[in-house]
Amino acid sequence: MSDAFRWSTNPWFVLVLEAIFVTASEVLLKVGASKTRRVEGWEWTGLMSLASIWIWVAIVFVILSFICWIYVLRHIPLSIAFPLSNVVHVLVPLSCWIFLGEHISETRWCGIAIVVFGIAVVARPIAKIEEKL
Amino acid sequence: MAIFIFIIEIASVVAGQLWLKRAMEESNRLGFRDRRVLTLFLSGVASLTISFFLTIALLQHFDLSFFYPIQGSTVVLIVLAAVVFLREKLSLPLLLGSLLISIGIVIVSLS
Repeated sequence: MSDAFRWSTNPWFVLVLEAIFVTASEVLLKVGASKTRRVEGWEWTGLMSLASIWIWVAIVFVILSFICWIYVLRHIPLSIAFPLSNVVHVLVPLSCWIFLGEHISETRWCGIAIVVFGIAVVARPIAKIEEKL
Repeated sequence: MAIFIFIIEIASVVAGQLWLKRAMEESNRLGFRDRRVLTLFLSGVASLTISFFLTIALLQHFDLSFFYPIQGSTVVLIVLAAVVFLREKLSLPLLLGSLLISIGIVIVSLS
């Protein structure tokens, strides 16, 4: 088995990939939505955004993230995978800050730090078990 | 009425994830073509689709900043539901970690 193949089938790696795909889709949806032409009366449907290429790329990322999630569920208990997948709540604000130039308040930085800490608390016992294997 | 929709929204997220997980567990044993696996999988997808549209409906009535913290609570709920319904193991770090994640999400959405 090649190294690349072994990596791509590792459920923990796929979980990270899932979070990255979700983040990419959220950021691209924002980019696409803000470039959408506003049409009176139809705004609430969000359908006009389909004219943007970014929205379509975002939809592809949504589908990819779902496929990854299904694969993760096949191998990792839900009670561990779901809390870890919440790393998107860290990745999305960070990406908005880096790529979209959005401002992050001090309170929000604190929240991000607490989520990271929580993820570390959940992940630490697992990392130990994996090391032993 | 809004509270009622909130409860259904959260319940359908939790149920959807549980069904998807059950489907994937069973698929290890029975394969993907098995009728039971397909039923569980489609129930999961349907349930998550319902929650998606309920979220949009709720967002039309409430600000995202009010609505988002509630999403944070799903982390703890899904962990507990997985322990109760799927008999997954609950450990102290898991409970503590998911509580911290929930609190963190609430704080992220407050600012």
